[in-house]
Formats: sequence, structure tokens, C-alpha cells
Amino acid sequence: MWRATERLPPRRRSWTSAASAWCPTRRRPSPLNAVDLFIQLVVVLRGTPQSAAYYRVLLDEVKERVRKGQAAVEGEKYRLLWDNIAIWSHLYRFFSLFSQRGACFVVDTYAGGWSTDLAPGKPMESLARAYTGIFLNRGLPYRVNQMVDLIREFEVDGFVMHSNRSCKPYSLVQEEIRRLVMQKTGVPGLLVEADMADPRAYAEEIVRNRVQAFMESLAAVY
Amino acid sequence: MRSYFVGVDIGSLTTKAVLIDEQRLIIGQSFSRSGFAGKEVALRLVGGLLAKAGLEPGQVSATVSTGYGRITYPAEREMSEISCQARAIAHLFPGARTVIDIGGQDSKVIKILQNGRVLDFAMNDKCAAGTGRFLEVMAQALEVRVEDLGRLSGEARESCPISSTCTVFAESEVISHIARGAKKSDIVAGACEAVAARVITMAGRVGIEPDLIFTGGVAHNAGVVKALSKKAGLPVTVPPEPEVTAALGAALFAAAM
Repeated sequence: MWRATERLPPRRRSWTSAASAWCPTRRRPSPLNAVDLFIQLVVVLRGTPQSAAYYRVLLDEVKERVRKGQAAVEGEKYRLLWDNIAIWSHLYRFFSLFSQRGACFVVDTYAGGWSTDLAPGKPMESLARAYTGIFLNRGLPYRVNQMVDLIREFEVDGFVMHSNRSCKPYSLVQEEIRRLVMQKTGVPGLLVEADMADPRAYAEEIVRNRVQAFMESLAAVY
Repeated sequence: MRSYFVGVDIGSLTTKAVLIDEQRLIIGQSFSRSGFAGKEVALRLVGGLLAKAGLEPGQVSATVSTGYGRITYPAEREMSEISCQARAIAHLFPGARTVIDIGGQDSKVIKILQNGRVLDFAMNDKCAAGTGRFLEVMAQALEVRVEDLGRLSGEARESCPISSTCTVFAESEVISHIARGAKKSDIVAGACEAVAARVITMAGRVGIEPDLIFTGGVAHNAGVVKALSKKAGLPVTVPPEPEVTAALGAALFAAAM
């Protein structure tokens, strides 16, 4: 029989919690684009020593990039916030629409959202707290505040939300979140319809058109 | 020698071209069906505009292209229709704050500032309901010309309810209204209201503020203009040539390069 205690190390520190006191993507230029985090072990292997070791290596690499002043997006012009899971089937094709215009996703709600410390000795309570407290399972005001705080903390110029057809409970309220976050921060937001797994839900030209219009409005070439 | 600027809008259904001078005055404008080769249609339109104005291609200082075929055209720069539409409307109507554009396969709502800066926008996703194509399908089912829809809706005594969620199912609804002996004009009025309802729902995402300007080929349809105005609770202004405004915006961007 599986027992939670067998899998949980006494104390787990993820990439984000290890880096929270010294978040490198607050720097200009950002050494890391959120898309780079999506190909790491965000969800799988959580709580394993291998995962912790892996993220230590990553953190060292990122620190090195900061030291050398290496940007994730060369000539970083815009700092963006990403909301929701990635569009896995078009990961780089989609994100390059932004990076080729000098936009870097310096922060996102998803990759760091899985970072929770589990208290030793009470695995079930810890798990319950982790999964009920996670942003995915929280209501509208929490998610609005989370995005507003991240936008201010990371000095973000715009935000992009992925309305994911395979996760309607999370995506359903995004239009309202977008409206409230724009109202509170004055920072523009774009909602893109796609899917985390099904490439048929990704309409290339429609997405490209919206991203281009959004980036042109940020550039404000008037 | 004077400089001239060209804006080209290769849309899903029609291609438009506008020629302006240094003073941003329109020298010529034209449009034609895009068909299979939008780029060739655009080149022909621009050639025609230059010939009519007695100009050589070398006198055009810059061209900006927009619309779905924008990347195919040999222009100095390509820009989204959202930016171009906003630029043109701010130029024509400094008091404009919201633009509703209904084209062949797209409908858009754009919130703008006086300088033409885009504050927010919404577009239809993966669905032709609330677009010019929707009205074309309805016109076909009713065996009337799409140009006559506006006049016919003006003759309606009442409007037949047509849902605004799907073009294919809406056509079935039109057919069932025909089968029940409803008047053509009443069905047309229902179709116009369905388009307006769809677009106004989308406009709710960005909010509508006056002045409200209506562009795109569908703005020629008086039935949709009336229905939009009623649902928005605001007067609606339609530019004299509502289908060429994005091309005009492209030309204005070309002049600013």
C-alpha cells in the first residue's frame, strides 16, 4: 500500500521557494523567460530529492546568467506576466511570437504555483492544505489579487492569459479577472483561447493576429 | 517632389487599398473581392489608384499592409487591423472612443484614446456568427442580395427571432421561418438583430464608451446599424466609406514611418 510518508522528504524546497528571497526575474533584463520553466519538472517529481537537486543546478545557472547580465530575451523591451498552464503543443511557436518582439515573461502564475512546503509529520494535513490552498482551486478575488501583486512586484507591462479548453473550472472566470486586473493596475491584458493538450484548439492565424495587435498596443508606435 | 503613401488591407473577403498624400488627404481608394489571390488583387488595386492619380510607383514613399493577407504583400511594414482601424478612426473622428468593426469573417470591438492608441480590444473566436459571412448565408437562404438586406429590414413590421450563436443553425432557423410563411423583411430584421446581439455581447468584454463608430462592410447595412445603436443605447456613426478605414489606417502608419 502506498503511504504518503514514504515519498515525502522531511523538508522540500522548490525552485521558487529557494529563490523567493532573491527572485532573479525581478532583474532587468530577466535571466529567465517563463517558457523556460515550463520545460522543467514543474509538476512531476515534486517532493523528490532528484527534483531539489535539479532545481539547485538550474538556480546556479540562473545566478550565473544574472552575474553576466545575460538576458533570456535579447534586447528585453517588455516584461509580461503569464497566467495558466502552457499551450504545450505549440510551446515555443507561441512564445516566440512574444520573444521576437522583445517581450519576456518575467513571472507566471503556474510554475511557481506548485511550490508548497510540506510540514513534517503530518503528510495528509499538509497535502490537504497544499491542494486546497493552491491558486488553481481558489476563488476570483484571490486570483485577481495574486495577479495585481505580481504585476506590481515584477514591474510588468502587460499580461497574457491562456483560456484552456481542457480546464474550464480555472478558465471560466478569466475574462472577469482580466477586466478587474486591468481596472486595478492600468496594465493591458490579452486572453488567448487554446488548449493545454489538444492542438486542434490552437488557431495559428487567429492567435498570431491577437498577439500582434496586443504587442503593437504595448509598443504604442503613434 | 511630393511623397505619397499606400495602405493595403487584404481581408478574408475583400481587399482594399488607399492612397494618401503628405497632408494625409485621401487621393484615391478602391476595393475588390480577395478571392484566392489577395496579393495580386491588392497589387492591381494599387496600380489602378496610381494610374488614376497620374503617379508612378516610385512616388510612393512607403506602404503598410494589414488584414489576413498582410504578410504576403511587398510592403515596408505589416501591422494588425486593430492598430490600423484605431489609427484611422482617431484621424477621422477625434472624439471616437469605441470602434465596432464587422467585416467578412471578423468582428472586433476596439477601445481607443484620442491619439489612436488601443486601450483594449475583443475579437470573435473560431465562429462566423456576428460577421458579414453570417449575413451572406442568410441572404442566400432568403434569395436576396446582401446589399438589399438593410433596405429590407427597414420594411419589417416585426422581427423574427434568430439565435446568434451559430451561422449554420441560424440558417436552419431562417428556413423554418420561411416554411411558416414569415415575411422576408421580418426575417432579415431578425438576422440583423442577431449580428448586433452577438457583437454587443462581445463588446461587453471591453465596455462601450461614446463616441461609437461602426466600420467594415457590414456598416453599409442600415438594419445592423439600427440594431447596434438600440442595443448599445448610443448613437452610431458610420464613416462614408466604412470598408476602407483599416487600409486608411495602414496608409497613415506608412506616412508616419
